[in-house]
Amino acid sequence: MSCSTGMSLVFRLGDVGFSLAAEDLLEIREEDSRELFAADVPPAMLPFRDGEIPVVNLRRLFRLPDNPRREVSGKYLVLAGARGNWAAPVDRVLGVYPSSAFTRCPAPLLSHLPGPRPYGDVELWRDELLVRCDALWLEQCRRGI
Amino acid sequence: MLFRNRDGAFALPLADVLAVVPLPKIRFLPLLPPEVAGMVVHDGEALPLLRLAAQDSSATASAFAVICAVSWGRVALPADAVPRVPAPERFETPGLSTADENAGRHVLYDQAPYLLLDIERIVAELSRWDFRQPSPSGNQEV
Repeated sequence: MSCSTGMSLVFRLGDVGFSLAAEDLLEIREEDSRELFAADVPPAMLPFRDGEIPVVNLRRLFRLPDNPRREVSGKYLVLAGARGNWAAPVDRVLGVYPSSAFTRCPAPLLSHLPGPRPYGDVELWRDELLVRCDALWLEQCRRGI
Repeated sequence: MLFRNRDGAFALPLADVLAVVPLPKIRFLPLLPPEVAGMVVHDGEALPLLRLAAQDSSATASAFAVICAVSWGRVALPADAVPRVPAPERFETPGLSTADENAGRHVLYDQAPYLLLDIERIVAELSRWDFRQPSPSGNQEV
């Protein structure tokens, strides 16, 4: 995946924008979300290649309200994790952009809040403040938070 | 410095104030304490915009932001108009003493009370909020 080095994926959950290193992204899929959006326990599974991978509800991880306008067909990010691949439903994928499109934005408050927390950094992209995600850390957080 | 917003009328020591600017665009982030109405970007840094009263108060309706220094950085407070800086002789500060004892005190200006803010005390409360507790409705404006 060396071609994606320095690139970041931008996606949205509700009105909140997120960014993620493109090298953590294996695939973007479109799936019927009626069953997969159900409760995480037991975790929903998504067919992927020759097996199934767990679906992580990032809305729940980030304590975001459910999307009342959820469509039957949803987009899923398939991400590489330390314990295998996993998938996360998102509302919109806005694209993959070079690192030059992002400006790191210090947010000292975030480091003064009790943790661990799913994110600690934010960055500016097209005048929008994005939550900077790390796939490995998100994977760890969904197990431990 | 004296200022008002929809939460009330407030007084701040001038030494705590770094700038007063038109309220920047407010950006909502997940997992922020309910006392934070959102984040504003000022001088390339994302600062919390604090609510000074009820958790559902509308800090976002203000026209200005008062940028204040705290021990770990800066925070923004909403103000409906450019704050006043009255001459000291026009203030009445009944019974003010040390910072600890001044919590919840008011200063009087033109016979109107202004709640004296202790910004360090307010931001100290932020660092005690644990997002794993039941979610408040405060910053779920997404």
